[in-house]
This record gives sequence, structure tokens and C-alpha cells, in this order.
Amino acid sequence: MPFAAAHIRLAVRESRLPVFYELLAAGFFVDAPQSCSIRQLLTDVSGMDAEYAEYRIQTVFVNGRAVDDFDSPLVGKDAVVALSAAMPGLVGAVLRRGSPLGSMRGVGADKGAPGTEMSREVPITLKLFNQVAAELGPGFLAAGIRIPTARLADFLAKHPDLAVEAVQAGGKNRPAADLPEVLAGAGEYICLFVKIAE
Amino acid sequence: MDTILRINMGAAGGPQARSEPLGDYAGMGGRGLTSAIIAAEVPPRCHPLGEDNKLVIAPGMLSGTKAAMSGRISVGCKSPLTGGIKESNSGGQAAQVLARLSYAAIVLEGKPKENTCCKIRINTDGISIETDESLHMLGNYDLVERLKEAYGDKITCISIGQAGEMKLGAASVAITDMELRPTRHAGRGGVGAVMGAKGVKAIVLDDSGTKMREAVDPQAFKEANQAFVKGLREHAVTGQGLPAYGTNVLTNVVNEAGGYPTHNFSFGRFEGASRISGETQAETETSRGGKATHGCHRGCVIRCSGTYVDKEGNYVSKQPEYETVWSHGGNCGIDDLDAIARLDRMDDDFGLDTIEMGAAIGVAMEAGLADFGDAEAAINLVGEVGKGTTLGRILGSGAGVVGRVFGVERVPVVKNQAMPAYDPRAVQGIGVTYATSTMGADHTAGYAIASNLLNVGGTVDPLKPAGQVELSRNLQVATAAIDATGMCLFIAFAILDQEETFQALIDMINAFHGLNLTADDVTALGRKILGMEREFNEKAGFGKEDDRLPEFFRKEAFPPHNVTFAVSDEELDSVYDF
Repeated sequence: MPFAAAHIRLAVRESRLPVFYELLAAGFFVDAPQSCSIRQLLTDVSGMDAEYAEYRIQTVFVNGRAVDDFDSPLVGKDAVVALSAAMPGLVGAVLRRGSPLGSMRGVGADKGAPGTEMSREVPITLKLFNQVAAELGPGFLAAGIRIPTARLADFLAKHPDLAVEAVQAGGKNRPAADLPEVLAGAGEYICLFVKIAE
Repeated sequence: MDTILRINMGAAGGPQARSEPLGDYAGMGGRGLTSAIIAAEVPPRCHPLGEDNKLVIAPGMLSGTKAAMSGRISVGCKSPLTGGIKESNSGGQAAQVLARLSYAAIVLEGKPKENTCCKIRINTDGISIETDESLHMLGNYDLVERLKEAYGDKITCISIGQAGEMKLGAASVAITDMELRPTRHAGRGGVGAVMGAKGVKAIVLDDSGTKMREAVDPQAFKEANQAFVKGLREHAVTGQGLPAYGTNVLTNVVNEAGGYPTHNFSFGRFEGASRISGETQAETETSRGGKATHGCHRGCVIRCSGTYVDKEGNYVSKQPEYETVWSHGGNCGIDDLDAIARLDRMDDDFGLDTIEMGAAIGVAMEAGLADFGDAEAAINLVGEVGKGTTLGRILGSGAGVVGRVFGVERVPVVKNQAMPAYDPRAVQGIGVTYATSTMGADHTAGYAIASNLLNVGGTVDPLKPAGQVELSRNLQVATAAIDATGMCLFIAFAILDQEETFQALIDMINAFHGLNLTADDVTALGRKILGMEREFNEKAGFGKEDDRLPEFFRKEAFPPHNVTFAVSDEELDSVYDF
């Protein structure tokens, strides 16, 4: 995690875990081989079960455009990939992978371009919505998500009831009371770990 | 359910009620019945608030039965907002109760000589109509409390708030829910203004002593209903997504697609989307002691609604729907769910369409009446409507009027009705439906039924541009048919994906009514309804030039994808070629 100068570790009651889905929806960074496919991102990089990815993730966006083909490559260094279950509404149906109503999108799918270089890793923004966040979110949060520090600061200010269990910065443990200071000095990005309190 | 109740509010000597058989309208329900009556009996060029217009309130073909999801009620008239035919439908208890009282429709006719404030009571003993000026200018919440005091808590109410009494273009008709709160609304097209013009403040229904409507073939009906419910529960949208997060689950997804109209349709992404998403809304409700999963009427198995409470756990409103969260939220730059819930409550209380009001406030913000993002200012502006001030009456007349009064060019309306929460530049096919629907801009006019299942117009090639027009046509036809059944449109997703669930719906209709309908017959019904509506609008003066999106959709590139609406006029004109 090259951008994360500090780690924040939180422990929360299980019932409060969904409050963090707002951060998953806003997006976090994962490092993936440049030009890898969506399928590789989901399974090889993110560790998703292949069957889950195929059947649960019914709506996929790459750079804001609905995508039908899991095997299309991600291009560019700032790719944003958003994952959702099947959605309601005409637009929900239109945006689904392989939708028979796909032509109603008009703006088309993001087909990308054939990848050439698979060795270098680049940061990709991953967003998780709805049931996908509820089902995969706990795992990602436990493993740590890298997000803009300012976003985490805003989020924690909005949720003062969330108890900070431990703060690590510069490889050293710090008292929870140091959180404002750690956030102020954390740089642009920070790594957040959330686990269920025992 | 074979009787039409007609109430002439302009009869000499006071309102007169009479019941008559369905006659030529037999076989129709919901939108099919409201549009058939309006098309046959209302002069297309009449004034929508005049004595010649009629307000038709009709449950669906399966309402009042044990059929799951059959609780939609249709309200039809000539619209004071669009000037064309209107069907606006709602959840709540009224469809089931009215059907069990054996009424296929209530038709309010004529017009009282002077402004009056009447309440109509309907139960198994009959009908009573009386003037009650003490109800004048009450909000829907206070009104229902008064009616509850008078008639007990077993009633169901159909009512208008202040907006309906002021005959404003955004006025809705409120329907009470299972908790006897006026939270469900036939919102679109100003149907509440027509009820106000008839001098009717409330219709109080009481089905005590009635029974469920019985099917012609009870066993086949029961089996079909079980298969239908099974299909709904097993589907990822109707069995999981909607119950967990409600319709507002769409916020994050539409925002990600760049199709979330923000700051009065200026751009397609709202920075605060995740703060007002369905996921955040559900977590907020649950953690405060509200409900994230709740039905709007008995017999609902999807339960996409909920209860929004404040930080102390006190009831504020029902869970605001996606369209409401968008219109009062991202469209106005507001990312505060508490403020949005307050606005939803005010709309329900004053009796206002939340889409039209949010769009009107967005246009007002563009005009400089308030800053985008200023939630308190938005609350104050909606408050003006409740007070009946001049500014409030302008706002309550809808986005089109606000644009004209304040000289705003970017006004997102078709046939003067505000657009819902999907920008037609980012999802071009929905622009076809917005432009050509008989109802004005309406996201539910062309919902989602598998066109190939219904076999409407042959198989569509989704890769061809013309597919957008053909799909829109097919979806509008299919939606009109579903609206006639009284079924919630959200059943569409299970039907879209599961052929056996679609068949179960047809089996239910057949078993209940003793019919032998096929998918083709359902399609024919949808076409018949659309044909009647289209003909009414043509006679009312609508032409091809009215089947267009506002000019700015073709001229202003819409970020983040920087696209304009590209479906040609010729393609739009071909939608009704059937």
C-alpha cells in the first residue's frame, strides 16, 4: 500500500458495521496488474469466489459505463470499477450485464482496449454497492481499505459513536486520543481496518 | 366488484350518488378503467378544473383478492398539469378496501357551484356525503387524525391536503397505509387539484363486514398465487435488494452511471450520493429504531418501504423513495437524509407530488431563490406552499410554471410534467419514453417487462439504435397492461427473468375471472389502453411537437460522459406506429 502512511484500526459492534458501507460505496483503492480483466480483478486480485462474481454481481461499471463482458480489460491508470447486484427499475434493468434492454443505454458500454502490459501494478478504485457491500464488505474492511484521509476524517466526525480501538502511524502504535493528530499528519491517503468487537 | 359509483358533486340540491353496473367497461380495471372512462366521457378540450372533467378512482382487476402485490389504485382524469389524459397510481390500503366494497370505480363528476369541503363515507351500509368546513385547509396528517376520531381506526382514507384545495398543478391524492398514515400518493399530474375542484376533501372507506373477493377457480388461483409469491421471493431484486434497501438502492448505481440529475439536471454525478443512498438510509433507519423493510399495503411480499425516524426515534415519514431522495436531494444539491425526510413529510402533508416539488425547487434554485445545497431554504420554500402564499402557489404549480415565472431556460419537463430521477442523456432509451408517454415525463410509463416474453412487436435487436424506440414502445404497452391489473410494477423484475413467474400472474388472472387469457391478450389490452390515451391527447390538441424533450437536452453536453440526447425526431415519431 504505497500511499498509506498511517493505519487506523477500529473495532465495532457487528450491528454497526453497515455504517461503513458508505465508505465502500464512495470507493477505495486496490492495486492490480495494469490492463488486467475485470474477472481477474474480482477473483485473482480481490479474492472473490468465481461463482459469486458471475452470478451475484449483475451490474458492473468501469469508469461510469455499464459493462457486459467480465473479460474486458481495464485500461488507464485511474480506472474506477463499481460492483452491484441486480437493480430495480427500468434503468436498473437496462444497466444489468447482458441486458436485453442494453440498447437503451445509448452511451454504450466501456469496451476498453486490449491490454499489453500485465506486470506493473496500478491503483484501481473499487466501489461496492448494496448486497455486494453487505456480503463482501466485512472481508474488505477487515483486510483494510485505502481511502482519502479527508474522507475518513469527515466520516468519523459524522459518527462520533464509533470507538477507535487502536491507531498505528509510522509503524508505531499510538493512543486512540492521538487520532486527530494522526489524521492531520497522515498525508493524502490512509488505511482503515475495521473488525467486529468481541 | 362489478359496480361503478358515480357522485355528481354539482347536482341541484347537493351531491348525488348513484351506482350502476360496469356495462361497456366490463373486463377493465385500474388504469384500463380510468383511461376508458376519461376517454369516453370527458370532452378532451374541457378545462381540467371545470365541471366536465371527471376524477376516476379505480382498484385493479385483482385488488381485494388474496393475490400478492395487488394493492395499486389508479386515479385518472384530464390532467391540470399536462392538459392530457392522466393516470396516477398509488399503493396503500384503498385498492383492497374499495374492491372488497364491490366498487370497480368511484367517479366524481360535475362541480359544486361554490367552494365546498365535503367528505364522502362509504361502507357496507351505503354512502353518505356531507359538508364539513372544519376540515378546510387541513394537512393530510391532521385530516386523517380528525377522521379517525370521528370514524375509528378501521378506516382507509383517500384525501387531499392544502395543495389540492388550492388546485395546484403538483397536488396529489393521498392514500392511507396500513398504519393509517397518509403516506401513499397518486402524485403525478395534479390529480389532487381535480379532487379539490370537485369540492371533495376526503373519501372515507370502511370494509368492515366484507370478505376477500373469491376466485371463479379458487384452487387454481391459490396455486398460481403461491407460484407467483415464490418467484418474487426467490428473485434477487424483489426478494433481496428492494426489501433490504428500498427503491433508493438505485442512488449509488444511477450516480455511478453518470445519469443522476444533479443541480437541476446540470451534471450526472452528485458528490454526496453515498450519504443519501439506500444503503445509508437503511442503516440510519435501523440504527435509530425505524424500519428499513415494510409493506405499503396488506398483501405486499416485496416490502420495499420503511419507516424513517429522527435521532430520538420519533416517526418523521415513511421511508422516502428513490425519486424523492433524488428530487429533494441530489437534484437540489442536498445530502442530508434528515432534511429530505422532512421534505417528504411536508409533501405528504400538503398533498404534493415529491418529484414535481423537488424539480420545482431545483428550478427555483437555478433562478437564484436559494443556493443549491441549502436544505433549510428548500424546507422554507416547500413551507410556502403549505401556507398558500403567492410564491408557494407558484412553486406548487410545478417546475414548468416556476421556470416561466422566473425566466429559467433549463426546465426538465415534458408535456409540462417534471422528469424523474434518470437523465435521458445518460440513458437515452428512457428519454424516448419521457418524450412519447401519454402521461408526460414518467419513468413508470415504460417500466420493465421482457419484451420478448410478451412478444410485442417481434424480437428486438438490442444492438441497433432503433432498438431504443422499439423497446420503449413495447415497455409502454406492457406497463399499461400491468397497470390495469392493480399489480405493483415492481413485480416486473421477477417477470423479466423468470418465465414461470410471468405465467403465474396470467394464471392468477385467468383463475380469478374464469378467463383464458394468453400473453398476446395482455399485450392487446396494453395497446388498447395506450391507443385510447393517445387518441384523447390528440383530440385535446397534442401533436408530434409535444413528444419532444426540452431543447437543452440536445444542446447541453451532460457530464461526466458529456453526451447529448441523440434520438432523432423521426425515431420518436415512430413509437406509436402500431
